[in-house]
Amino acid sequence: MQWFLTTLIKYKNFLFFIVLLGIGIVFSSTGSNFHRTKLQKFGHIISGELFKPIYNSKSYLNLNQTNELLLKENSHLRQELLNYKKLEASKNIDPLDSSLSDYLVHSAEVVRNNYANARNVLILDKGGNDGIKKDMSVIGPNGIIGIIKQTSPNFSSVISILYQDFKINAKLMHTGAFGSLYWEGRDPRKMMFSDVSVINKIAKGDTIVTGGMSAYFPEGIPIGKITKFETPTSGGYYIIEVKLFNNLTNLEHVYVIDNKSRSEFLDLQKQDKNASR
Amino acid sequence: MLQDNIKILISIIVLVLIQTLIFNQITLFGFSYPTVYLFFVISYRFDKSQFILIFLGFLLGLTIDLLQGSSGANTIATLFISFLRPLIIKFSFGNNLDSISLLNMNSKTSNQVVYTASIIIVHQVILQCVAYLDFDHFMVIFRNTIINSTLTFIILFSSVTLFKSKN
Repeated sequence: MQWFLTTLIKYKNFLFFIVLLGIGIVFSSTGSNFHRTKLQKFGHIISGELFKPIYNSKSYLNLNQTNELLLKENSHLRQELLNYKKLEASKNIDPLDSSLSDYLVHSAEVVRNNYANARNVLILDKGGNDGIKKDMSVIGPNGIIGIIKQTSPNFSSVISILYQDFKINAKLMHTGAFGSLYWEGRDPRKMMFSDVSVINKIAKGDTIVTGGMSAYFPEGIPIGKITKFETPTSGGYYIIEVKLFNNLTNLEHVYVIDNKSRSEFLDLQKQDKNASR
Repeated sequence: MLQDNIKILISIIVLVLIQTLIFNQITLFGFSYPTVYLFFVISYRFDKSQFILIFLGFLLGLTIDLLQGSSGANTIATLFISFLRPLIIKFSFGNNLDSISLLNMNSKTSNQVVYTASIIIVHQVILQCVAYLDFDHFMVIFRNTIINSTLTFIILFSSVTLFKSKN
């Protein structure tokens, strides 16, 4: 016993280190663990409050640029609306009735943006009180941004598409060939597009849009353009580099999309899985 | 004694705020930011308990991780460096420490450079390896380590020099 206690005291630093290291590893392990989620929620509430003043001053400095972008987007939307109205006039239903549309759009502002880590998480200034829920998709003026990971009453955190081990279903706009999009961790403007079979013809400058095979993003939201591609010597898939339309290093206004038919989609997927077993 | 502890607590809070509010906002070259919170580990007095340093290092890293939304890389790296610090002190100063803190030390500048640089580099290597956890990303890890270490070293060593001239 004496011996045990002396050893314990002698190596207390090392033992303490090992215990804390264990806690650290558990914290960083990817499995979604109750405590980890609770802790991170606490962290994101604090950082939301902390970063709000910084965001406010930053956004003041960028007002001109933002206005320009908003104007552009507004004009685009107006144009779409006009087309839509023309189309709907014959059917005689209210195009803005939320019970009829599949998607609800909430606007939000980015309080904290990250793009220099291996796994980037953003914080938005809207939360559960504003109707934001987990797993909703987030898009920007020029394309996709990420998926809501957690919400607190007034803030929510978003897994950015610049997040390693996160793959997004996407397709080539003109041929419709599906593949998955992921980030290699180097450049926040570029992503890789993989699993596209070589039987599809592709060219530089082709546009990539969201595929709609996952329930997260609505189909057809622009993502980026092909800047480089290699035809592999072995294996039947291209290696494609995509330049994103969205500048993820400079985000202020984003839109959170609530896909109302998502639960239906998931149910169907589950049934399908059960049936194929 | 109590005054010392309060000082330590305040320095941790100030460093966390500086790191998250200033240095995490300015990402140089689009991907790198210096880890200035290491100032705490570097300037922690040599005669104080290492046991407490390990605990404080862990807390410091955890706080940074939670505020940054990153998944534990800072916690593990800072914990490691707090544990390895006695080895680094021995490696860079030998057995003849002439002071209880780096902030009022007269040893050769080269020794102090070795001490500061090794703490920063070891910390960065662990931080980047844990963050990427994949050797396919060797080039990214290598690049981030080199650039972040250099930036951190410039900032920390100049602030140490600044603190010294004030004393």
